[in-house]
Amino acid sequence: MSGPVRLLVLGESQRGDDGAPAAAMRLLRRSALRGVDVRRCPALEVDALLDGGPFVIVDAVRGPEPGTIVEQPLGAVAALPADPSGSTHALPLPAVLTLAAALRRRPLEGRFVGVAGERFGWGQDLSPAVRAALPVLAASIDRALAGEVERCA
Amino acid sequence: MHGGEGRGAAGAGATIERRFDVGQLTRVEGEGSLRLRVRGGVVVEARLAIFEAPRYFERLVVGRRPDDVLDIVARICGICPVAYQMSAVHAFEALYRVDVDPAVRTLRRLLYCGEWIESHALHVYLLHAPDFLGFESVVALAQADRGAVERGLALKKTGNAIVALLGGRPIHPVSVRVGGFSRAPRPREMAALRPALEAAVEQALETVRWVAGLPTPDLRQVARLVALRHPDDYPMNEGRIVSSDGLDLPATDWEAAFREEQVEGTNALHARTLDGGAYLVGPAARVTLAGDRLHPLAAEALAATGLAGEIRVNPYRSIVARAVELVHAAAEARDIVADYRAPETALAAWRARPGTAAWATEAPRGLLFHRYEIDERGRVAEARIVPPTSQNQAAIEEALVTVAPGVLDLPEETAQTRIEQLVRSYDPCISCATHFLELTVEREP
Repeated sequence: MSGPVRLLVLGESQRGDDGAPAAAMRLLRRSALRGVDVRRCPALEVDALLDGGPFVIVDAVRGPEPGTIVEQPLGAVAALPADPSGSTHALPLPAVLTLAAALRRRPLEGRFVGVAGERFGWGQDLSPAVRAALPVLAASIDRALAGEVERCA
Repeated sequence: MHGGEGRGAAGAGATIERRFDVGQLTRVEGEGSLRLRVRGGVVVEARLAIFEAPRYFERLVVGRRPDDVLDIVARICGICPVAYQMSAVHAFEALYRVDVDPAVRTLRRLLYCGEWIESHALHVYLLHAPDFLGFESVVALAQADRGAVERGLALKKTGNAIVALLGGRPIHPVSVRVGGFSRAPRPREMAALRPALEAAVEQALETVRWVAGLPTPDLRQVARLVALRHPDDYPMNEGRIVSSDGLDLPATDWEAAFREEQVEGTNALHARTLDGGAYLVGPAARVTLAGDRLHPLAAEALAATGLAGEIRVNPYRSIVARAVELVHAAAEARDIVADYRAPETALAAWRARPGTAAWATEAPRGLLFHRYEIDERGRVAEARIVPPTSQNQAAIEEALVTVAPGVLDLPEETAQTRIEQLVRSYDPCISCATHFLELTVEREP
């Protein structure tokens, strides 16, 4: 552990459910963010992971039933196969995590918290299932932050 | 690659056809695939197919004012948005006869330097270098040579910082306007870039030494080269369109020598010379046709490699040309920042007029031509955008025909790697190339 917990809020608020992490941030208790280094990142760049940590990374995901909350240690996410159909202008999340770990020469500490989205098209509207899941997503972020802060203490 | 014997007719003398498909090319910008058909040891079809959905940007800008167009075309690409803005803004300013402040001209070169640095660093280190060293990806490269990847990421970060300062943000910048910039940086903001740029010059020089020593396949593929050439500067925003076989045109007149054509099975148009020939744009073309305009540090670095001649004929050596341009862009950016004086007029006045606005600039991947027909209301009536990848596609396919017979007997995985490495040598930006599909809607009564 080398510093305060860094919360990386991923996603683009103008691409439907990709904005869920930012929307959930508005529901977080202010006290949950005390001492936390909060950064908004439309896409995760490896630079954000090269120093500091542990990390809590929040993003929307595809696959599970819309609104499902997904929580994993970062090491488990890094081990996932990269989805080749994702953005071709940015490395997929598992690759960014693996690259960062290789450059740091040690595994990344922290947790991933995701919410399964339904649509990622134009517009700021969230799908009903994702909107309904926001309080649970916020509680999951809160819990992940508390866990990492406690481990840092 | 999923190779397999085709279902040729059985029996003696029957020709066996083998088909090799790479369903999804990786480590290129955008979504494309590759197909080779080989009959009797001869490649009968080499097709770089682009299946990323068409994006219709040329239609999206119709009815828009020029300043709107600058923001819209920046969205064509997350890697080279500045290029789209530069070709468009120079086209409009040429039509409107806008007299921009010389300091604005310099700032635009700096903005382009930032984009070249981030784009070239991304391609050299994250996309292309792993091929030469037998690594599956940059992750494996980082595990074996952390310093190299850190150097690449540091360069990319410096390029992004330049674009962010001048353009307001590192991706899809918003400050470019017809007549100049909506805001010019303050001298102290520019001064803050100096340490990173000093380091970037050294990192770029090290990059040239590194890529020049990479094990590189032999290949001789003499292509017709096309690039801008300027009397004083290494080509970015200004110059004439020249070629290795004597073409010499104003930057407004791309259509006098080239045409686009629809090719079955791909969502991008192919560009060819009017006589149907393939040609190559990009770093290898620029270094060959305008190498005498390189920054002295870049020229020296190129000479030290002894590879100028090979860059001309071996597409795999484009990585060296790209690295040399990293030195050029970093050194020119450093010099501009060191001498910076804010423009007296960041935004010159202009008045719209009807007519044809056309211009070509040098995107990181090569010549980028824009033409807009402007109507009496000062709005776009028609647009044509020809990106470098569309122009290189025919040359890529020709090179594949040359290379394929020599690799098809290798183990499949090795053959695939070699072929993909060749495609990546051209740094194709497939996302840029997919907004050209002509949409025809047939309506039945």
